[in-house]
Amino acid sequence: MRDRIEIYDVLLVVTLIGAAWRALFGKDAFSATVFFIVYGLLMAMAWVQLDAIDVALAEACVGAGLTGALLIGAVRQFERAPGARALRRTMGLRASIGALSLLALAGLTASLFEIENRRSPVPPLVERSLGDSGSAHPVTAMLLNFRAFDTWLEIGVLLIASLAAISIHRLYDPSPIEGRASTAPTRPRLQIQSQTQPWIMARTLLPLLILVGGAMLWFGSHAPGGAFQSGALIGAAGILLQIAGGRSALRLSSLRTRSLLSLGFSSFWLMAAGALLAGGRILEYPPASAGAAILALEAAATLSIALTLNVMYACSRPWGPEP
Amino acid sequence: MTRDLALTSVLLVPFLGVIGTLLLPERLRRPFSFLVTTLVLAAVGALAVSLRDAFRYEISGWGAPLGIDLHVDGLAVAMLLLTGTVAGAVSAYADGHYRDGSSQKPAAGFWPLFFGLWGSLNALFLVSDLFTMYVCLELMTFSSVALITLAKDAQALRAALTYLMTALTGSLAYLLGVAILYGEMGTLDWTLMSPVPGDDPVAWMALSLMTAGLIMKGALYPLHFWLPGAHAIAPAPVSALLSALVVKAPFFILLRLWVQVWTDAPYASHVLGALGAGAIIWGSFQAIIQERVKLMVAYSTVAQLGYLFLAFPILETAARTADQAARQDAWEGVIYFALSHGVAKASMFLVTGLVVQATKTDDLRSLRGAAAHVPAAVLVWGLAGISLIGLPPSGGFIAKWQLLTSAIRFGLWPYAAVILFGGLLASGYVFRVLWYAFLAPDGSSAPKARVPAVMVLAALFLGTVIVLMGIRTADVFAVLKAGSPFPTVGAP
Repeated sequence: MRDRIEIYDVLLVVTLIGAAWRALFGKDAFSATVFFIVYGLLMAMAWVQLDAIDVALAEACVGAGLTGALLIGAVRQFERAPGARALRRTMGLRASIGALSLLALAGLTASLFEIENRRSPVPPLVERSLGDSGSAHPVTAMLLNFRAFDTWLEIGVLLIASLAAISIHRLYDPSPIEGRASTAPTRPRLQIQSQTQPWIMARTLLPLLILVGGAMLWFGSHAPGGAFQSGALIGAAGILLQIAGGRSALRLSSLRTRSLLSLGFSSFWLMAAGALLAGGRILEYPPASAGAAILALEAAATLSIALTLNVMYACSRPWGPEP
Repeated sequence: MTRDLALTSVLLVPFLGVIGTLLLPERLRRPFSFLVTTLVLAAVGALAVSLRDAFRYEISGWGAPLGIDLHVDGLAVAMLLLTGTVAGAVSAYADGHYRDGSSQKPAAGFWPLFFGLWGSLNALFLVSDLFTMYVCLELMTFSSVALITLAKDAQALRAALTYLMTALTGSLAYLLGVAILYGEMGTLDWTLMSPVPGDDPVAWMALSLMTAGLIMKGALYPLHFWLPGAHAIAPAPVSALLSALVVKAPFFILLRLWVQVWTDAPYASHVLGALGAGAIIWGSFQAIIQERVKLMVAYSTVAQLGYLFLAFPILETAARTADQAARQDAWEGVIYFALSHGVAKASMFLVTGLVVQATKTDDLRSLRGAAAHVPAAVLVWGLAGISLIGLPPSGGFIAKWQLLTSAIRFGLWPYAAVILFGGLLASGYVFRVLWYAFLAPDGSSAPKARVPAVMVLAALFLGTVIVLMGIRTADVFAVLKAGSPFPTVGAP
């Protein structure tokens, strides 16, 4: 990290605040969403400036890209729903949230100047243990070895969230997504409108996204990257395919979908139980095979993350015929 | 060896339940969930029996502060026992609830979420790492939200989303606090950072943020606004889980933070105490005026959670006294309150569910004749009621007695008065239900349907536990001695 603050940093911070402002107080939900995506991309650039490449990648892929896609889906659904204006009548709530946020901001700013930066024992420990961790990249070693238990539970959160999304989707749309094909028999199962813009985009980008996603998974073992970023890219490929009209290919209640959704979570479970059977502790890998274990877990997690994002996108899209 | 096997099973087996009930063919899911429940209960039992002193377990073999450790002590095992007791009863009840023809919902959606919730709670009570606790809270919250939406109507969805938004805000505040604390203390393991220096302003900022987030998730008055809607609209077995267990998880973290990490917080603890007193009074009054039984039980949770927050000033005063027996009494009383409220509240929601299933409504007036029609349900309601009021023989009596004597002993008279008055208010809503239940049925009572026997048995089981907690108190207190923050001389 550089010590000096340059004009670029100042511009970045000012634009960040501007984008955040427009996202919060934009004239309608759609422009607010667009500014939220802009904010995410600027935030990723800020993380690059702070030398946190892993966070930057995650922010760009998940924070700006996929969250943006989900939000745009939600906004379109919103505009069709009657009574969407009810949201405008919450000024009192906004004001109190704003006041609380300002209070917290003041406290945080004050404590920033007070923070002692006591020397943490963790970084030297990471350095010493990196050789036995199976990964040359400290972030990967942290996520998939030292603190693999956290990552397992986070993958669990994604699994449960996708089950929740499916459950809520069914609430409104009694015919599950896969039933759409049978209610509209004139449509082919994988309905691709071959001359539309989304399809041309998908055709160009799809191979590239899968290639870069795979590369990011592989690089994760020794450089920034890994399951979450890779999963987001491959998930984006799937979402592009959905936009191009391949929606009904996703069968929410099929065994294949459920297996793939839980693949990451199950792999961590097998690794935890396998380590116990081998005489070790939960999620303890022998140094010799740690690299292979990490790669296997990351690959499984990538597939589950990609599918989870697609399930959420499919569930967030407006029902009824596409315009 | 047996101890480690029991411990790892408590963590791993519920998550096997998630995977199995998601992937196995339909007909195998029921026996499988039964098997998983039995295994987890056996593991929790074995862990409780083998616990002599607090011990640690290094996940991934690195050890804190690099890796994540489990910290197994009396408090953690007591919470595991509560979770097991309630989850075991709920799983039997849910089996009847979802197989009964009258409830149209498929059981398939319930089981993975149920085991996800159970696994997240077990992990949360065991980990010694404040960030891992955050991830557990998230897993718990998402499972709970998804379980609420199983009620399958728009009102449930609204309640679930309100809960989700509140809980996420709370999580973010907690996470921000954890991040600041890591910056200040250089570790995420609470046992390595305690005691935090009492005059460190940054650590105080962190504690304030974490506390604000946790009381939001723990529904402490006046941040309880999301609770009655969510807990009353959910299906009965889900309400039982939410009210008995889910709101206890943030309280558990607060207990660790305020009693075991920050040992020096004389004035701030009275803020929590005052909010707790407010919760008891306001929640009880709301419960008394409700016309729907499920809402009444939900407001009763708001009130009963208030008692748990009286714990903070009481324990803070206890920490400064020299009387070791008095300190241990206060600590045991607080935890025993959390345990007995969990069992009593779960049984209340289960019997309310029984009555709803029999009469198709939870209107208070439709309870006329319930004593003749579903006598077991009314019996269990009575047992749960005396535990909430604090009458013998029940766990609630022991817990309230210990809290009350501690408050008096330490000269905290206002809290003692609130504890006594709260018991009086609780009898108001408990007896209101019993009054209607014992009236002779008339034209206004709804038509009756049969309920599966397994649901009645599950409620009766919890009723028995309430009474046993009033009699076999020493057995639970023996578990609580392990790793207590207030060790008594001569303890192992």
